[in-house]
Amino acid sequence: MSDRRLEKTSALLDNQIADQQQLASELEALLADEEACQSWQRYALIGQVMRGEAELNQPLDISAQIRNRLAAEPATTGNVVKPKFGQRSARPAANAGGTLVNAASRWLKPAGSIAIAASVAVVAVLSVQQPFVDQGNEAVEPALVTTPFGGRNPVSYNTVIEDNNPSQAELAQQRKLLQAYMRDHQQQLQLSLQERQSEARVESSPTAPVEQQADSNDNN
Amino acid sequence: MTTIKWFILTLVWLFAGSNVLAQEPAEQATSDSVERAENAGMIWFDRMSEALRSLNFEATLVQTQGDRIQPMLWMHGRHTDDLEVELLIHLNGADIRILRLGDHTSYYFQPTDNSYSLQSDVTYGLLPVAFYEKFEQLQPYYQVLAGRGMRVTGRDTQYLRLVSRDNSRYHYSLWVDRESGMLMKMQMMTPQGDVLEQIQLTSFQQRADLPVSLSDLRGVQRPPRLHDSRQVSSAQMGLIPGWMPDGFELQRSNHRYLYETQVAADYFLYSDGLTDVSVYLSEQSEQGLPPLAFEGPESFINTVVNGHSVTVVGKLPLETLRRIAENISTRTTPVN
Repeated sequence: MSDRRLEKTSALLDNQIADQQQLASELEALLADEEACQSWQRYALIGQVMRGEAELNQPLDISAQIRNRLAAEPATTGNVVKPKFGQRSARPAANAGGTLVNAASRWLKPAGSIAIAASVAVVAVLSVQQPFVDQGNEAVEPALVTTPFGGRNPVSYNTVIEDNNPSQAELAQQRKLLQAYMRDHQQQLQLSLQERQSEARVESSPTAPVEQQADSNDNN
Repeated sequence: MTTIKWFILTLVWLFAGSNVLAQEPAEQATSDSVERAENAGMIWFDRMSEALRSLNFEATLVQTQGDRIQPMLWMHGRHTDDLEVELLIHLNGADIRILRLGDHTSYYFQPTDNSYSLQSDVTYGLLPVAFYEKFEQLQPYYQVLAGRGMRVTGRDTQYLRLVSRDNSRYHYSLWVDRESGMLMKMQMMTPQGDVLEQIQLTSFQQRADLPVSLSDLRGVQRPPRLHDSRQVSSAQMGLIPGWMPDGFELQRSNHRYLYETQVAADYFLYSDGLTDVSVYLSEQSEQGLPPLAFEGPESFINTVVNGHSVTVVGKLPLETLRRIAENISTRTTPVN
C-alpha cells in the first residue's frame, strides 16, 4: 500500500481532516480498501497501547462492524457516498488545487532525526586511525611498539605514551576534515553533472542559449 | 626400414596437423563466445538504461555498504505528457528524499534546512549516472559480458558483468529482469572480487500508468539550486596529476576552500564516464591530516609529496588511488 494512503489512514485516525466532505470521501475510500482497514486496525492498536488502553480479548477491528452498520443504514444518509470512478476529477478545480498543496505539505513534513548526507554517515563509522601502510618505516621502530593490536589501547608494563598519538580533539578534527573531503567530492560530482547537462542542453537547443549562458555565468 | 620411417613421419605429420586443426577452432570458439557475450551484454545494458527511464514502477530495495544497511523506496513513472517522475526515499535514519521531475532533481533533508536542487535529468545518488545512458560511451574502457541468468526478487534475470579493460577500476555485477529490462540487483566489487556495495530490490511492481503516489508531486515546493562557491579561482600550485588510468579526463579544476573548512586546495575532478575521482592538493602545514588510506565504496588516500598534502577520493581500488597520488607532477603547460 502506498505511503499516501497510509498517511490518510493515519490522519483519519487522528481526526486531522477538518473538511467534512473530504472526511466522508476518505472514510469511504478507507472502508472500501481491505489493506487500509488492516492498517487502521494496526494504527488503532498502537495508539491504544501507547495510551495504555489496550485490553486483551477486545475486538480491535471495528472497521468491519462499521461497514456492516453502514450497510444496514437507510440510503437516506447523504453523508456517505458510494465510491465512483472519476470522482476526483469531478471536483471543482480550486478544491483540487487545495488537496495538491495539502499533499505537498504533508509530503514535506519532517519525519524525524538529523540529516547527514548518505556518504558522510559511512565515514563517521570509519576510524581515522587506520595505519597508512608504509613499507619504508615498517621495520624501523620495533622497540617502541607498545600497542601490538593495531594501536587501540596502550598495553605496556612501562606505560610508554607515544608522542605521535593524537589527542581526542585532534582526532575529532581529523575526522571532520575527512568528512569534509567526502562531502566535497560528492558535491563536486553533482555540480559537474549539472554543468555537463546544461552544456548538453545548450548544444541541443540553440533556440534558448541566452538563458543558459546567463545561468552558467551565475555559476562562476 | 624406409617404409616404416615414412610411416612414422606421416603419422607425426598427421598428428601435428590434426593438433593444429583441433586447436584453431577451439580458439575461434572462445573468442566467438566472448564476442557473443559482449554483444548480448551491450544489448541487455542498453535495455536496462531504457527501462530505468521508461518504466512505471514501485519498488523497495536494500542498499548495503559493509555492515551499513539502508532500505529505500523507489518509484518511477511518466506522466501522460511524458514528464518523467522519480522518487527515492531513505527509510532508515535521516529522512532523505530525492525527487526528480524531468531535469529538475531535488534533495530533501529533514528536518535540517540544507535541501537543494540540481538541474539534472538523472537521479544522482543510487546508481551510477552511466547506467541511464547507452553502453557505447563506456566501451573503450569497459566491457559488459552477458552470463547465465538467475532468479532474483522472484524473477528470471539476465546476469551482466561490467569490468574495466585494464582491471584498475571497480567491477559491477548486474541482474536484469528478462521481462521488463529492470535492474533487480547490483554488486560493486574490487578487482579481487570483494563486494563493497550491493543493491537488492525486495519488491518490484510494474504499473501500466504513473504510480498514484507520484501523481501529486508536481505541486511540491522545490529547494534552491546548488551553485558553485563564489570564491573560486584557477588552480595555482603548479602541480597536476601526472598519471590517470586510461580514459579519465579532466572535468573541472579550480582553487578554493574545501567544503565548510578553511583548508585551501587545488582541486581536480576526473571521470571516465562511469567512475569519478577527485584530487586535492593543499599545503601540508595548513591541512594537517596524517597519512592514511582506506578502500571502500569511496576509497580515500592522503599522503605527502614535497610538503604538499595530496588527497585522492573516488570509487576506485586503493592501488589505483595510490598510483595517482604518487604521480603528482609539475605542470609543464599552464591550463587556461
